[in-house]
Amino acid sequence: MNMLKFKTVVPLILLVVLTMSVTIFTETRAQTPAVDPAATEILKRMTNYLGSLKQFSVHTQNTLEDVLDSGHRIDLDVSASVTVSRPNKIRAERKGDLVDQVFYYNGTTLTLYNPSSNVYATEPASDTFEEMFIYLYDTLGFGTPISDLVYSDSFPLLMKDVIFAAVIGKSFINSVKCDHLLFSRPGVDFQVWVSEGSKPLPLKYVVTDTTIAGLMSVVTIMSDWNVAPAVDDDEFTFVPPKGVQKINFMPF
Amino acid sequence: MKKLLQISAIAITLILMLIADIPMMLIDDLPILSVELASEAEAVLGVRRRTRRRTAVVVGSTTAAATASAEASQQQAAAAEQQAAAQQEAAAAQQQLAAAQAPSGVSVGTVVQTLPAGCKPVTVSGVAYQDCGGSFYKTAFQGNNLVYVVVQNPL
Repeated sequence: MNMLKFKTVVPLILLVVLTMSVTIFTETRAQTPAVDPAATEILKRMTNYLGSLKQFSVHTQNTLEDVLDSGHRIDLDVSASVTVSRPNKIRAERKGDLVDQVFYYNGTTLTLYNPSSNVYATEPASDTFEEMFIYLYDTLGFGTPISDLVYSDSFPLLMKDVIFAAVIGKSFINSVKCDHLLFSRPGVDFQVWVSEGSKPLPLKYVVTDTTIAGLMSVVTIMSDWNVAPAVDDDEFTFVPPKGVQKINFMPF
Repeated sequence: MKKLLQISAIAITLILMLIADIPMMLIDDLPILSVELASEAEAVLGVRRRTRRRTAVVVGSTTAAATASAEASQQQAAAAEQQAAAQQEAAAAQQQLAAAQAPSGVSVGTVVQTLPAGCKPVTVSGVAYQDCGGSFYKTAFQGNNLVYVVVQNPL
């Protein structure tokens, strides 16, 4: 009789433990907000600071993960030096796999120059970054990796459709202590490392395409931030060197 | 005895359930779970596979900057893929060109990443062309990639 009681009680206890564990687990889930305000607060501080800069220059190292038709996993790298003068001037030099390019935008025209091929193309452009980037993307057919740094307020852009945000922790990028944040929206995970202290600058981005099995990413490491560079307005206007050939953008 | 077996069976089942539950709880603390689940779901639906046309995948997304970054690079990826397979493609393209060219040249508007072999630069009315065995190509930017477009004979 005693024996039987014991055998009945054990499963009952287990059942109770199981039920409790499920309850606790469910409650923990309910209490943890999907978008952690601590993460958005740091992001907001970063975008506010970036937006407050009149001029800046930064070096970026962009690594694009890719898979060849042969199945081999490779990285494609592009080094870029970007100089921005608000409200509407930018110059970006990019060098890497397949790219040797300088992009100029002086508030009235935009120019793409390929020094190694000795060709350039020029188009009249809108006088705001936002409209110019939209034109670049929609009409000429190319996106610009640094565009969110350039917008005066990129916070709404970065937070668009975000369904999950978290502070992953502290880390060091190029020996600078950073807050490591994760933002997720359907199809895209975005990690950013923001330097601590009075200059909350982004030092690393990882953008991951979560719609594919390999979860492949674009990694950008930002270095040599200069928040008060000596900038001459002339450097945003392309002056064709002798013998350079003018070509056109294809309608996209 | 039968009852004993029954009870033991229930106990074992419950223990197994509990064990199965623990890793789930642990995993769920990590922010990656939602992603994992999404991928699994896609796997079940048969959508989960590496796609070579990543541009198409992301173009449908938002205009948000992070996405834009991915898109920008994906264009480059597309170009890079083409470049990486350049030898093959060039060879194939040249065969096609040779075939298509035979009587009347390549059809106007064709865009290629690499010129066929044996092209000569010519300038007509200040515009530069490449004369590739009677087919004329004009250099242009497609997005930020340099391409060659077949045009009417300007001569």
